[in-house]
Amino acid sequence: MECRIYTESLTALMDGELAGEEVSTIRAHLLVCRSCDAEYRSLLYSYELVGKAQLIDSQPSAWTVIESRIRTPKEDRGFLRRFFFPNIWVPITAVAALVLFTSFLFLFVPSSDNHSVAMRQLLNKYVQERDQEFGRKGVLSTQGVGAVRTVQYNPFRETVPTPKGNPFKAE
Amino acid sequence: MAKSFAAALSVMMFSLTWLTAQDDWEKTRSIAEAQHEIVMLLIKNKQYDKVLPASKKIFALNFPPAREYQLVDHARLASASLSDQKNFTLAQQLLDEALKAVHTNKSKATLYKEKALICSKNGQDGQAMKFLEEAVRLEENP
Repeated sequence: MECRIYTESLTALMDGELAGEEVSTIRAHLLVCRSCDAEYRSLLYSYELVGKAQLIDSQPSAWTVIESRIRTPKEDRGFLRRFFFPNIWVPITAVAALVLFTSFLFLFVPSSDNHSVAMRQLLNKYVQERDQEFGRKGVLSTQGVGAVRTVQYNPFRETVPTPKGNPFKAE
Repeated sequence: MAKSFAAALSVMMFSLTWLTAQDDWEKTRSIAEAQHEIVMLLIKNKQYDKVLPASKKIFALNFPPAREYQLVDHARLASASLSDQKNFTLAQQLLDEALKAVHTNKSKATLYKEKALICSKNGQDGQAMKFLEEAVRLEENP
């Protein structure tokens, strides 16, 4: 019970608010009571830490602004806005999620357009290869892309090698 | 002596078989060559009702897999000529017959691409896409 009275007076002691007699009494008690002494040292340490902290000088006008914002009531929002958007972060999150989902669809899901473009490229490549192949075989393409005119080419004709030299020459 | 005779006989038999096969192939090739000319002339003269039967005679010839490319070439040339004359239906029918006659996936893929090309020319892009997908599938599984 006695210790509780002393510990309650410790902060007053540290702030220098006690009279000389009271100070002497408390200090005498601190010499004999370990728990109160420990409490006193703990408070002393806290005071030192607080003393080391740097205070930021705020502008006097800042307090006025803060106070006015505290005292001003929230603007009265319409019923529909309160009903649909009780929190402004809900629509913002929804829009962000929609954008992310759409981006995912565009990036990772092959669309039918991309597919058709790929197929179109494949078809163009085939036409080019076929034109080259037929060009080598003597099938001329004269009627636009992919068109062929079959002249002097029969796929079943065997090419007979031309004899070298004169076939009638005596060995 | 007997062994030498047997060896000589084997060589002779092999040669005869090879020559017969060569002769058979030459006969097949010659028929196909003539028939191709007929098909192309029929297309040129717009006798479309005779084109498919004439072409089927080529497809009915027993072509070895190594010579399948010649069948594919015939089908491509004939269908391209038909396509140039805007007879897309007959071109597709001819390619369908060719597809029945070939066995390798490479040949089938080429024919499907040709079908896709004809569809594309005819404005049937959706159908062309399907044929191209089939061609890609066949090329991926040679």
